[in-house]
Amino acid sequence: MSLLDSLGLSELRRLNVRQQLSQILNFALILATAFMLWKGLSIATDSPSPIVVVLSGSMEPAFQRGDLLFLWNRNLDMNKEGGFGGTQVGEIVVYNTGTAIPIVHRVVRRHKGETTPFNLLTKGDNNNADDIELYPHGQWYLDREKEVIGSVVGYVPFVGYVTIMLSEHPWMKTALLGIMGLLVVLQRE
Amino acid sequence: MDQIQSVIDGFIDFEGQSLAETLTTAILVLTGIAAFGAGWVLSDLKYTVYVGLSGTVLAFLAVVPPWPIYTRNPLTWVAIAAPPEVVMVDVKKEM
Amino acid sequence: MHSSLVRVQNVFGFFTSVTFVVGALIALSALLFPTEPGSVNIDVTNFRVSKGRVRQYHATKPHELASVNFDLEADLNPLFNWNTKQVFAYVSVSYPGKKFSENEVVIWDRIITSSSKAKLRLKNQTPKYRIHDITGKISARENVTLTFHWNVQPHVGALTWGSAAESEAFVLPAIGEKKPASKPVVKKSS
Repeated sequence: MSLLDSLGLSELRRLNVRQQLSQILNFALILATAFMLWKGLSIATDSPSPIVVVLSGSMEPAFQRGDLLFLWNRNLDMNKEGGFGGTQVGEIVVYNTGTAIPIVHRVVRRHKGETTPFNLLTKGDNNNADDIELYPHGQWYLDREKEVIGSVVGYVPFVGYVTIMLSEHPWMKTALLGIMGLLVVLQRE
Repeated sequence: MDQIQSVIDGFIDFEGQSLAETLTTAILVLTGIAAFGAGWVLSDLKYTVYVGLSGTVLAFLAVVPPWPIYTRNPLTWVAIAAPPEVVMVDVKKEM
Repeated sequence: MHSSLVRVQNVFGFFTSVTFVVGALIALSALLFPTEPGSVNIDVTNFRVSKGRVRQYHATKPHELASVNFDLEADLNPLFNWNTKQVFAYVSVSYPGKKFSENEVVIWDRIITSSSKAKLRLKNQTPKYRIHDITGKISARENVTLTFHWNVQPHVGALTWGSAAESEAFVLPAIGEKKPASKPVVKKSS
């Protein structure tokens, strides 16, 4: 320790560590803010995934692959049974029946009862048949409360396409990193 | 190789940087306004997209390559004369 | 702005900001346009209840299916503006029940992508989809109404829905009975 003191470097060394920690803290703050915004939106909309990317062409020509959808899961018609009774036919919902990917389709039937779950049947605009084939065997309808994660209220085209390209063509990630690396090497700065 | 290197680097002088920044803002803002206006007046969104993308390409072409107008005020470095005399000084430690 | 790469990043960054603002303005501009179609008229012309195989439900015995024909006149032109990507028009049948107090089934739909195809004139239209109730029984239902709806899909922004022209309540017949149109007046929307 005394060697560092004599060289006048001890202060410098402490500063460096603090600077490093400060940088890490800044980075963590950015991540935390992004996470908070996402979770905040999730709470506001009452949906586990308030923004989704369209993955299939089953809702064309309205939605294309790569479009971004904004979901809302609170229905204004809250009733005693649990509050999702407001979903109407014609609304476009995102649902998950335990299969890997969620599906975005339009509601074509609704049956609401006092003591029964709120039943919905869905169908893609671009499909000829309704979604019975997509539900688990023996299930005729969706349970609005348990299987639907939101109803589409807003739409932005194209911007989600990057995520699709990156997930379906993993070589693109390597190519992107390669190009970035190349640019770093070529630049004299 | 050196010339290719300098083109890829694209260094421009300070006056040029300020000009490039102003041009970027001006071209893109005007493009945005024109794109919205074109689509609105012609009642079709595809004109907005065409005007918008064309204007953006124009912005890239105008500002990214190191055109001569950006290098008109190069930095003048002070000429290096003879190297300064190295003076040896004894540092007496006070502590 | 010292190197080409920095300038590329700058232009692209500002481009995304401008795109965001222009997109938001386009979405907001939709507020300036009408949200109601022109006149809408809907009329029930014919209905029939029959028993049919419903293989998709893996049911052993046949279920009851109802078919409701209708007349429809609707002018959806006012809904088309520069931000309209498509209008989804659909007709649904609503009825109450014992176990399920609210039921609604879409029997017909159409995707309209341009204002030139926005005027609908259907006479005694056969429905695209037959009504299958969750209980399997649809015969002799009372207080059944027909409603016309639309959904406007924008190029960017919020989706909107609307409905109009509920027909007067009618009664679905028992099995096999065919009921021709003896219809009551239809409510016209503005």
